[in-house]
This record gives sequence, C-alpha cells and structure tokens, in this order.
Amino acid sequence: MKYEIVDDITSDVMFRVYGKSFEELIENSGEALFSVVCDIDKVEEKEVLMIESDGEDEKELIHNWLSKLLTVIDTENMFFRKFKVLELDRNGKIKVRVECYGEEIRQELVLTVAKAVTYYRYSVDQVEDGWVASVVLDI
Amino acid sequence: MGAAVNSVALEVRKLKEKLKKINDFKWELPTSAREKMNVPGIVYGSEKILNDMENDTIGQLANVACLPGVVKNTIMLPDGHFGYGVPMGSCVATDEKEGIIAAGLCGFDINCGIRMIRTNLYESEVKEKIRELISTLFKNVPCGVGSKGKLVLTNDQLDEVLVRGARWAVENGYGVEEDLERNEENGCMEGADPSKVSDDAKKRGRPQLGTLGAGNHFLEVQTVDKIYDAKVAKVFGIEKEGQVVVMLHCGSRGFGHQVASDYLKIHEKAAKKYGIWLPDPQLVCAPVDSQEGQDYFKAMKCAVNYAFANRLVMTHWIRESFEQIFGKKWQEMDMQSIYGICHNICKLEEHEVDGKKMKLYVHRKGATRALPPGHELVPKVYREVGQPVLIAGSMGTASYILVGAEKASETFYSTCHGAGRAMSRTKAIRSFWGEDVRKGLEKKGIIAKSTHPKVLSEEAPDAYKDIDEVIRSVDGAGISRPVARMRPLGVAKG
Repeated sequence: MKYEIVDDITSDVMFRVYGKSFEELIENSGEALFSVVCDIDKVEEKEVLMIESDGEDEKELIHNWLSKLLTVIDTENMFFRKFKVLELDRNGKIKVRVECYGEEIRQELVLTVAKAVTYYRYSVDQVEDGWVASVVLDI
Repeated sequence: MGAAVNSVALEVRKLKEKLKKINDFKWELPTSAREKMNVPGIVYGSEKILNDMENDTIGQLANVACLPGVVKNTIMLPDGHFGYGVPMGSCVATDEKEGIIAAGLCGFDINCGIRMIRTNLYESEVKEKIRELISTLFKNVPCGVGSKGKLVLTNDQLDEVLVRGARWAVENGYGVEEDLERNEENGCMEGADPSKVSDDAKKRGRPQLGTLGAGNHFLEVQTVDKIYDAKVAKVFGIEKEGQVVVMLHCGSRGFGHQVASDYLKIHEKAAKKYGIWLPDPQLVCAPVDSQEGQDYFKAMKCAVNYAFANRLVMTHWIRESFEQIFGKKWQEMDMQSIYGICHNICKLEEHEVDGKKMKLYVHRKGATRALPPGHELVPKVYREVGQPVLIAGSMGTASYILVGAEKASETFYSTCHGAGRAMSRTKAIRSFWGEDVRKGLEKKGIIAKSTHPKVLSEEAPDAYKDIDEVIRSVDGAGISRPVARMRPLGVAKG
C-alpha cells in the first residue's frame, strides 16, 4: 500500500504514506496529497514539471516538498498524478529533484482545497521495511 | 507508545470535566486544569453547545493559555471547534512587550471575512430573475480552485494592493469612498511591508485578485427573513423583511495561505531560538518585539490588505451583475455597503484589563470583532448603535447580522464568526452527494451553482453546527445581539 487516509478531523485531513525507500516515500506522499485535493485517477499525464525541494533532515524535506506542491497547484495551475525522483543528494542539506506528471487543472477533477501542510501529529520515520510518514493537511 | 497516547487522551477527557459554570453561557477552565497555564480559559456557549464540544478542543484552549504574555484569559466562542494548535473560534490577547505573536493563532486564511451590500430590491422581483442572476454572478465573479482572475497584476501593482488594500480598489474604479468607511480598518491596515512577503506568495497572489476561491467561500443573494431590532436594522440599511442583500465570504486566497505557511516555518525556528516552551508543537510563535515577530505582523498586514481589496473588487462585479439583470444603475438600486468584517486576523489594540489600559496583540481565529455603541472605532454612521457583525451560516441555512454589545468588553470585543463545522469535509463528501444537496436546496427554493457537485457535498448544511444555538449563546452572554436574519435565494461557489 502506498498511502491511506487515516483520520478525519473536523477541518483537516490526515494520511499515512509508506515507501520501501526514502525516494519512494517522496513519490508516494506526492500522490497521497493529490488524492486528497483532486480525483487523481482521472488526472492525465499531459505535462512534466521538474520540482526541487530540500530540508535539513528527512522530516523537514517531506514537509517542504508537500508545501511546495500546494504552492505549485496555484503558481502553475496544475494537478499531478505521478512522481519520479530524479536525484536525491544527501551532501549536507538533503536536496531532491522530482519529475511531476500531470495536467492543467480541470474544475471537474477538484475535490477540495488544501490551505497548508500542518505539523499536527506530523512524523517521518524509518522503519524495518522502509519509511512511513504521517501528515495532516488543513483543508 | 500506545500507553503514552492513551494517557494523553485520558488527560484531555478530564479537561472538559474541569470546566466551571459561571452562568448559562459562560464557563471557566481554571489554571489548575493543566500544568503551566498562565491564565484560565473561558468558553462561551449554552449547555447544549458545551455537550457537543469535542474534548480535544478544550485541550487546545488550555494549551494556548501556557504561552508567554497571554493576558487575562484565552477565549473560545460558541462556534469553536478543533483547529490548528488553537481552536477555530477563539480569541487570544498577548502583551505588547512580554507577549508572543503567532501565525497559527490567526489562521491560514488570513483575513478570511465577509462583506455585505444592501439593495432596495425585494424578494419577489429578484426571485423572478434568480437563475439568470446567479448565472451572471457565477460568470462575472471567478471562483474555483486555482482560478485565474480577470485581473493579472504586475509586481508593482501587487505591492500597491498589499500596502493600500481596499483603497487601491477604490482608486482603480472598483468601489467608492463609503465602501472604505463601512469596513473594518477602513479597508486598509497601516504598516504593511511587501518586502516581508516571499516570492512564492506574490506569485500566487498576482493572478488571484478578484477571485472567490473555493472551500467554504461563497457569494449569496439573500433575503431578510426576520428583523429582531428594527431601530438598529434601519441604521444598517435594512428596512423591511423581504429586502434583498448580498453576502460575500472569502479571504486572502493562495497569497495568504503562503504567508501563513512561510511564517510558521520561520516561527518554528524562532521558538527554539528564544527558548519558548511549547505545549503543542503547532503553537510555534515569536516574541512580539523580535525580528521574526514584527516581520510576520508586517507580512500578515499585506495579506489582510489583499483580502480587503479582493472583496471590494468582487463587490464591484456583483454590482455590475445586478445592473446587467435589472437594467438599473447600482446606485439606483441603493447597493451600498452594509459593512466588511475580518475573522482571521491579529491586531494591536487598546483594551482596559482590570482597570488598566493596555496595548495588546489580539489574535482572532474564526472570531469577529464586535464593538458596542459609542466605541470610537465604529464608523460615525453606525456609532450610536454599534458595529455590524456579519455571520455567515452554512450554505442554504440562515445568516445573521448582529450588533456589538456592552459585555463584549469581556472578550476583547470579539464574538463568533459562523456556524462552525460538525463534520469533516471528507466525511461530508462521502455522506452527501452534491446533486442531492443541490436538489435539497432547490426544494427549499434556493438556487445553487457550483463548479462541481462535490463542492456542494463538502459544504452540505448538515456538516455544520446549529447556528441558531451559536447566536442564542452570544446573545445570552451579552457579547452581541441579533439584528436581522437572512435566508439565501441563490448561491454561487467554487
């Protein structure tokens, strides 16, 4: 399983995301976020956008990465359905470059508006068989 | 891990039991309720509201009372519900020298608020043309996710909007002077500094000025259903039942969300830097007199001004839509502003606390300012009766105009903002099918137009708390009194 909606809090949504590697966690968390904001299965891979993010550690990186995705929805007017990590650089600050596949927003695909990635019950942990993250979006 | 979580849950459950009844509409959470509370918490609400209130929400009220420089008591209003760090529907005031300032205490949608305009039209004549009117409004006022507006600003123009707020709108032909007078802060907060705002926020803000957005934001054509106080209603421009008014509920869009997110990250580092103990990691903050604190205040004011301008630009297009449908100038239809309010904001205000005059950073998150009769900040035209308080109900249910009352001095002149959610948006989407919601509204005579059926599901009326009980509570507490109730004739939303 890549991700699951875990908990419904009155004005937020929480999901838990998994990955066998940290790169996979980055990719799957992007998908999880878009599964909340849009009908991700209907999003078509018409365009590719390269998005970069960084963080002092894995926890900060995932938060920055997901926050960046919310920003890009507005600045590029796009929804994405698939992500591929091109490069993960762990020299000093962790830096990542991700290929994001999607298309211009179609209103019929809209599910909800996410205002921000919160720190509520936020965690990113390395476990026995990979990684798991817990994220709450303010919607 | 499991045991630790369970004991926390138990602690929170016990908090609700520690509430002491002060009167039928006021309850106190004493400082003994949890460790390190600097001040008590006060919850406003009827017994019914209290019974329905989540335990975790009371816990949040206790947590925020632990922050440095919180003055008198933390406040939760009857529409309070679980939020980000602090309840949605709360007011927290901090000392101008010793206190903290926090993005989370003001909300992600900075200056989410309401603007209302009156008309001299009545229900029967508007109902005849309601479908065309809603279609025209839907066409003229851009809404939806990632919606590109009709105005795409240059960098310089955006900076002007951030500094001048609704005044920019008037100067560019999107409103008149009276619109500024009949607005909180006269439509502009002084001291906004665009250099404290990130490039990402500006990139999001440039194409979105004059757009409604989505979520719980909407544009409603309403009719006055009931007048509770005819004298005050008349002063506000509400003459008779059946009169048509328009309510616009919207905020600072992606611009404001970005400013809030940016400063939460900055305040996370600031809290560590200044050694501020946080009972909840989401209560990140900075001392009011620190660089990080004042930078946030200046950036927040930019978002406040953006939202003021946003709502006035859309007001202009609402007036134009009515002109197109009814063939008269908006001035002939007397479409003057009733008032404009904010319900997610932080302001430096002067208040009297235990007989002493103090300057306080008043954070209102899902709370509306409510000034009583005679207060110098109430526009001259309303000063004798008090400040209009605009309350949006959930879609398809009643909205209210209240007026600030004397006992609001207890709450730093703050009252509720709306009905408050009872059910999460994803749960509402699963439970209510948009088409059914639209048909349900139509059965009640309300025409709803949205970008997609799901948009109606998440805002289904049953997903919200009972607004009548919320209003009864603020009235019972003496904070604000009902003046008029409105019901929707038609709604446009993204």
